[in-house]
Amino acid sequence: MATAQRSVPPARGVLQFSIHDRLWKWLLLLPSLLMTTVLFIAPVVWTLYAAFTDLHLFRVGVETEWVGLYNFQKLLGNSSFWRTARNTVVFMLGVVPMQFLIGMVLAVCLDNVTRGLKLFRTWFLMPLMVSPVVVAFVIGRMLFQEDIGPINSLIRWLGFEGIPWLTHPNWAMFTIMVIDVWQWSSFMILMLMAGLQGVPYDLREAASIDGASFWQTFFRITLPLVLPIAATALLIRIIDAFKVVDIIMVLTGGGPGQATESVTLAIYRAGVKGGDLAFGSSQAYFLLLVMVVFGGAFLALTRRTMSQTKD
Amino acid sequence: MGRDLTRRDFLRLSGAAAGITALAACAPGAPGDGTGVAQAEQAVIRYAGLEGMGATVERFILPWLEEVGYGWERGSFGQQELTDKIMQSVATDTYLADVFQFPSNARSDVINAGALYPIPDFVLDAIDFDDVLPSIVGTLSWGGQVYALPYDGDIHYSSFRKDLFADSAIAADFESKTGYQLDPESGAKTWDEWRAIAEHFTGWDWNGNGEEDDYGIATMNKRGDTLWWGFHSRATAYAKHPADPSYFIDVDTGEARVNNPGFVRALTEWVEENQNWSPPGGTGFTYGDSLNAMNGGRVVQTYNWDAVTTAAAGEFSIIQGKQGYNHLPGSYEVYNHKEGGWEAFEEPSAAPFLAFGGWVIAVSALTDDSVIEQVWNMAIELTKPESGMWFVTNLTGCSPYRFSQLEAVDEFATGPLQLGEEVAVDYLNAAKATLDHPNAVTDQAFGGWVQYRDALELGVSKAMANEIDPQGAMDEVAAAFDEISDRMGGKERQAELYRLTLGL
Repeated sequence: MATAQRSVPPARGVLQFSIHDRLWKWLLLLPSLLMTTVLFIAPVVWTLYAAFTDLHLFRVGVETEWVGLYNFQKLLGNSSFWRTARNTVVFMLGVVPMQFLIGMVLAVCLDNVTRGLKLFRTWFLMPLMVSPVVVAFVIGRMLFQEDIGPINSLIRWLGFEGIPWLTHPNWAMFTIMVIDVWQWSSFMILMLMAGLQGVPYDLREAASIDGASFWQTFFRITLPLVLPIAATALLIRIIDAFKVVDIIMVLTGGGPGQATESVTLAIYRAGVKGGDLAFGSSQAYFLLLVMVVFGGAFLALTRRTMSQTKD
Repeated sequence: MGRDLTRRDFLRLSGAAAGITALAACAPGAPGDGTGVAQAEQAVIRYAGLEGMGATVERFILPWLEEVGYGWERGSFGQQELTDKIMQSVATDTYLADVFQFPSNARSDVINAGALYPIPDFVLDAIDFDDVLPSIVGTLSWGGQVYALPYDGDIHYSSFRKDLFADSAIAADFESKTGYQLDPESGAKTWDEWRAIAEHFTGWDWNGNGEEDDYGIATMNKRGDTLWWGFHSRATAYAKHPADPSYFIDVDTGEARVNNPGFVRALTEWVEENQNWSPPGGTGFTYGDSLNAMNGGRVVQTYNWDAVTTAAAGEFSIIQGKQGYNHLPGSYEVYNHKEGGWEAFEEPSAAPFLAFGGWVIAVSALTDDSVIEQVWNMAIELTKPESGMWFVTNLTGCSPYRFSQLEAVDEFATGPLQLGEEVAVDYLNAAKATLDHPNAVTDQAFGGWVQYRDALELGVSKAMANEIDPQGAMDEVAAAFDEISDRMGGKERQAELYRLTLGL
């Protein structure tokens, strides 16, 4: 033992320290690893497994069987599912650019405000603090109520026909978008305001002295520097929009017909409410796949744009 | 393809893994052995119910619990959440509460899974079970054994503006234009009359508010809300033949019936009525919207569970004492599915829909032996005749379900609901005519009822939005029904469960 110790004296202390250090690292990581495994990885793996079975919560006395790709085949041939997928994409494309546009315009306007900025920030935080269910009920079901709601009453008072906000397929999707834009534009405003405040004022001032117009300054200096934060905010909102469910459930229940049903609402109906965990899981994985692909493409595009801007 | 792992084993393993680590240790007051055993000396009864109804139960039962010295814990859930929780606890064989309320439609899923204690004879005797109407007994039983206790006799009532129908000028005008007579005692006796009334009362100022924004009907038809019940209440008269017990699916083969001409005619007419003769937004009304339209004096007829009680309440209604009630309208023509054609009747054939069937009270099979006696005592106290009378004569959301309640005109007329004698008599007669009707249609209660409901609501909602024609919509629904039946264990198995829910 002593000989062995003498044969590798320099490495011994390093090795002992290394093992000790690693052990501590793993011990400290263990609680979070356990939590992550139990609360995230296990459900994700479990859901993937369920998607390849015919698992049904409410089917009593019948064994669960492995069905391979059956649920995914059923999904791809299911016109109702494609309708919900189309609705989700339409919703996302409708709300996120609008929220970004509103957010950017207001953030730029507020960037030069020096007095009352805290008041504006608090003001814009308020919609975010309200539950989407409450927003959908108060704004959607009360303001847009077609018979005696204030908006249609005003429209009729002006001499026009009331608008079927929630019972016509196109108007119903529009109404849901309006409510989502109302609630989440604030998020964009706050994020972009934070981004704008990180843009050095002297850069813009120098551009102005060199004769650059407001738009030239905005597109060539401000926007590229705000891009990292803007991209983050956009990505968060895109992911959220793909998962929309709450306001739709309260406002239209997915109707009229299937005009406003989102993929997440369909997953809830099949998996949670209907007990068909297998089909619900396959839908959930499809949505996850789409989001990963879309998110990846978006990030790649953003990186490319940023590197081009730097060049 | 077959594997040894059963659905229940699979769910148990998954639930245990997650639960041990995260939930069990965190749940304050959770039973130590996972079965709900009250460890303290005082017996603690755990109850799970709806937010509103559960609070009412608590308000009613707490004085008695204090008197006998039992402890009490109440879990409170939203309507969909409660059903989800119950179904998940049943499917995973985990404890939720000692006593819980559940929708009687779920009885196949809940009872068939062995989740409930059978009700012992001494309990049935103590609550005078013979006094419970046979149609309600059916919602509490499975294979001849009683598994749940009565609490609520939910049905759809047809309600109409008795005062307007009794107006001689309006009645004369109506008769001259439509050929029908307005009957203030019965309302529309057939759906043809209902339609004529709906059209006649649309677009003129019969409520005297100075605007021609008055309408004929309001019905519940919002997908994800109560469309299932709104549609079936409209369809049963055409699609339920008195000589045939089948309605949703064939009781022998399990094949879906919902795309036969009876259902298609009902949907075609329902779409037309709601698009043309109901207030703006009327093609997406929740059950509350339809009630508000009626109680707010905007429409002359509707059908609903709470049409009587809410119309009587001053804070909800401007038409107190002006409504009449009856069972749902009938039809001179009924589709005979077995014969494959329409059959004419000399008198209107009605098929009142026992919509929803009501909430029932059940005792979990996972209740520990150490508290079971106290649990039965509490169940008796909650459902005995005197208690039942209190629940149905207060604004609790509970409707009559006992013979004795249907005779209690005074309690409804002068009790907390203050219906007045005329309305009370109408109400109780309508309830009796529905619950006792030989051709009444029991709500869908065979396994997977939530999925069937979603499938029908999707198809009907598409037709209501003109995305698809009624025949196409019901063909889609029928195909979905057949697919769900296959997923739930096969059409024959579903037919067997359907026969059990009908007591056949």
